[in-house]
Amino acid sequence: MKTRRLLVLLALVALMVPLVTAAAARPVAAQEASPQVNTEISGTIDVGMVGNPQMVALQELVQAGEFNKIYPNIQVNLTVLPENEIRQTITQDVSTQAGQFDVFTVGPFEVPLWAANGWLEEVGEEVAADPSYDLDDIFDSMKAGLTYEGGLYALPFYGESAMTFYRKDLFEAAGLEMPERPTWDQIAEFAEALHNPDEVYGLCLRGLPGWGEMGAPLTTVINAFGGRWFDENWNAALAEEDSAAAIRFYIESLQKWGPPGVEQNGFTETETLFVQGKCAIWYDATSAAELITDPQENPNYYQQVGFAYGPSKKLSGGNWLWSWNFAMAANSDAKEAALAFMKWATSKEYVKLVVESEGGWGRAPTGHRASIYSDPDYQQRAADFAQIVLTAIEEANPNEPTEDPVPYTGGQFVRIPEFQQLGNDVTQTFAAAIVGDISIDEAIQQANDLANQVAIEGGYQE
Amino acid sequence: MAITETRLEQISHRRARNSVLRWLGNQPIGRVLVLPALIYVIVVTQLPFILTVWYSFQRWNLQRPDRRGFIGLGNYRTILTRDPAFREAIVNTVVFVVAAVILSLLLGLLYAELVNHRFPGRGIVRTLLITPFLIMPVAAALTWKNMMLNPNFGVVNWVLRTTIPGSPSPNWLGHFPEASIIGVLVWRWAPFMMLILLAGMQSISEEVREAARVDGATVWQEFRDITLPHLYRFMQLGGLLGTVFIVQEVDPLYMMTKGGPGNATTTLPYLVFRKAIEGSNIGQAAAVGVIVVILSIIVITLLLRALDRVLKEI
Amino acid sequence: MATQIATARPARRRSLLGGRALTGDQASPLWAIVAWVVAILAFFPVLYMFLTGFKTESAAVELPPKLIFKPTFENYEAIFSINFRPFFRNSLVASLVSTTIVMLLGVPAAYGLALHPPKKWKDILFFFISTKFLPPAGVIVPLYIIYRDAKLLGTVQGLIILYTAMNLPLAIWMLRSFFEEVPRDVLDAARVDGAGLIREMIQIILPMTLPGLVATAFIAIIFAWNEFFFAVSLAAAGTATVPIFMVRFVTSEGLFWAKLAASSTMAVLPIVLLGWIAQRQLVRGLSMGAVK
Repeated sequence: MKTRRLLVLLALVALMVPLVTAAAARPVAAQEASPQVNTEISGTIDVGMVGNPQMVALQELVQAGEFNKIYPNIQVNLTVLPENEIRQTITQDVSTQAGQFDVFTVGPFEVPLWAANGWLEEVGEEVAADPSYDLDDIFDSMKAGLTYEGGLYALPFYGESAMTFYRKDLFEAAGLEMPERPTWDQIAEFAEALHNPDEVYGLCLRGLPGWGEMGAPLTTVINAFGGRWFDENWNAALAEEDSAAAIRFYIESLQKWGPPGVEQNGFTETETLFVQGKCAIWYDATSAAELITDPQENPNYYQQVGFAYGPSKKLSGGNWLWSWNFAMAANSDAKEAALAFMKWATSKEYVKLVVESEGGWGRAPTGHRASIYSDPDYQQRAADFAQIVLTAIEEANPNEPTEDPVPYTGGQFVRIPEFQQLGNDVTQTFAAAIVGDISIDEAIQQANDLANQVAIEGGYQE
Repeated sequence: MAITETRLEQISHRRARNSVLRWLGNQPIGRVLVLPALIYVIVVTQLPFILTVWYSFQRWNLQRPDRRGFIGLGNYRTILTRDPAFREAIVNTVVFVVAAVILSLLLGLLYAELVNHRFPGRGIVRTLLITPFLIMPVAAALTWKNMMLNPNFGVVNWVLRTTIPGSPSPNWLGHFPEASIIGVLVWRWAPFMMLILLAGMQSISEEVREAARVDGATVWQEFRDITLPHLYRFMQLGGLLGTVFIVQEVDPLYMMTKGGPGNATTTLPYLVFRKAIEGSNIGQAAAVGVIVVILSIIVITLLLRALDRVLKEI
Repeated sequence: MATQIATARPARRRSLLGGRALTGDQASPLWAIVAWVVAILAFFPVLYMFLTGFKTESAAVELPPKLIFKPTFENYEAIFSINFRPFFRNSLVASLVSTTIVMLLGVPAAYGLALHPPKKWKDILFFFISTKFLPPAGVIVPLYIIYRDAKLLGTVQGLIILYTAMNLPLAIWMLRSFFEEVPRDVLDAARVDGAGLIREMIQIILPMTLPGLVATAFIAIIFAWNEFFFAVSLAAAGTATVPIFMVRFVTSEGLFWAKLAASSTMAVLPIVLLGWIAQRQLVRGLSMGAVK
């Protein structure tokens, strides 16, 4: 009967109500704090963060009251979203000066651009004045990407360069040996020898379109091959000999030795494949090293992972350098509290806190502070790769990323605001070439045209 | 729930009516009743739209406030003359909408006809058939992309491999992106069509069917001679509503293909998304948005004129 | 297997749902088998999503896919470690309140359009539907700026306003068709009795079209609950809704299918249950069986 069904509905709604209304109590545990910080700072700050494992660990610690143990009077509201969504939200918020966030995660791509627009608060001066924070401990190469006109506009939470991961067991079985510093030609030989599509793919690289997905490794391959996106007069240079060779190599490698559906594979998907034992070689961000050597994340092959530097060609590496950083909105109305949070999250003590509370380094932020690499505990945990990561980060030079001179900075990106769209469009074109909708030459030509159009519309070309 | 709403509705309606009536005096009652909804929709949708039109005349990349400025029809010129993605997007939009609407109508018709007869478990069958329409588009897209269509670990290719030995494992989203997206759209919208068509079938009087059966009509004859003609206007309604909804579907594109490979699955609304959200290019995004509205209004006017009977009869 | 289930269940199912069965003749067993096969195929992705949520991450990508296995609750534990109540509450408030407003505005408008059509009523109807053609991404920056100034960013009110505008055109369209179905002689008789507008509506129209009203409200709730783009663009900071809760599991860690499946299941469950319970209402509402 009609009424009975309505009753059932009402009951359903009634069942939902207590679920919804029982509000969670916010744990606030005050505790004695170290003497050098002003624990009396008060305020409410809204923080937007990207949902990477390291950030999720941070979120859990904040929700467990760890931050409030030191700063009992600061309320932290966290918004955690996947990378694409948080980037969109933060970009809109910051560029319209809406002021929803006091603190947010941001990459080195945006920091100098946003600082130039006056959207970010300079934090270097105050942080340098606090000896307990030890700003000198943070890698110079990382700080360089966060600097605008001498001021430091963000603090790194964790950092990464790029390296080569490979399966030691497969190399051994095939009688191959990966040098510590391979060249791309060697990688190609290995991939050819190990590629066995029924079981394992010779070479895994990101094929998912997006300036931060395929765009990142591809740009470093272009750099290593001696290519560049633009010449010194902002003429598109993707069709120049070295650049085109790099792009052709990247696409053909994926076609020959890559997994099927590689144009769907970003960092996450590729890592899944590697952990499934489907990749013989994988070139990607160093931050994957911790995940794929974790027995829980990679139960079958965690002892079989070998490490080498990012491959070279004309240059010794691709100058990959990335960090996730916390920056403060220039229009924040709780700047003291915001800075307190930024310092806490990027401090040495925070790293210790994560390791202690998790009983391991799995989700601890690394790659941003030298002290981590002199920590005996970490040296033991990361014995196989710590030195490579450290050297790769120190060697990366995003401010002079290419063989020939360029008018831009950035290792795995071109630091102009239009690069987000350009990088997306260009990698989409390459994805079409990967699946064979268009030829590689056509794709390179289209990409070059797109780059020229951006240079003209953006007012870069005279 | 509906009961409470009705009561609330009565109360507020009475109040609103009193004041509005005093205000509008001798306005015709129909106009008075339509006015609140009309004003609401105008304010909420047209205000942003006017701003969109204004932005479409500006050079404006969110991240380059220094270069923001009025450039007249510059964005339109760029899009219409120099943007290959735009032309592809027009074709894609037409293909997607036409294919998805027709196929979901046909599949919905099959669903509806199946459950329009009595058989054991008919209620459960209808429940199962309806479910894809209830699934959140984002969840549906992710399930299809990963668990169903993934070339390595997906169920679809596994079924292909095991049932047809030696069959290839197609890379669905790479090599058949249009078909894959249309498939997912049809999977989600066929149940909606089923609901509308089943409603139509249920409104056929039982005597007519009975008479046909007495005359010895087969199921097929009954379907062809009685059901289909009666369903005509319901199919028109389903087609119209389906067009309105499917043309704006962006979630599956965003979650499954990001509009690619290349521009293969970029529709006009998704092109707006790419420009505005991924590219921060507000000026161009606004211009494409305005073009979409103009084109839609032209198309829908023609459609409505063709479907005038829908308005008259339903 | 399909036929076994088919013969085992029907009696219980009917009594559980209650209510008048839909019309239709008795079909042959072959018909039933075909119907069951089609239904199971259509439902399979949903079933598989549901099952994957109870697998370990490594089992989730195992082939051949297992339909029977020892379930694990580790994914749900991981999900429940995040407080999902605020997401759930925001979605519930946004969809219920917006739907209420849709009905409050839509019923009078549709009634007016159907039974006291103003001049140019076709243009008005056309205008309502035409607002659905504006791509949301095209207005997102203007909306963001308006919302910033109106202090509506990150609020559930902001979502309610948009969801109302999003569903109102369809609701008016549907409701109008239901009101049109009310037989004229019934109305004329009431008017002869001296029934005023209010009485006409409350005592005659609304009871006769109740299934249609309910169906309209359900569809509005479904669309509001499932909406992703506005939610992520305008409300994610502060009042995130269920779809946003779900996508958090998209990019975080490497092996993620099982967690994704579990969070998807959580996200779609309320609406699927509601839809299952309300499906007869939906069909009846759309067919206006009650009018006859």
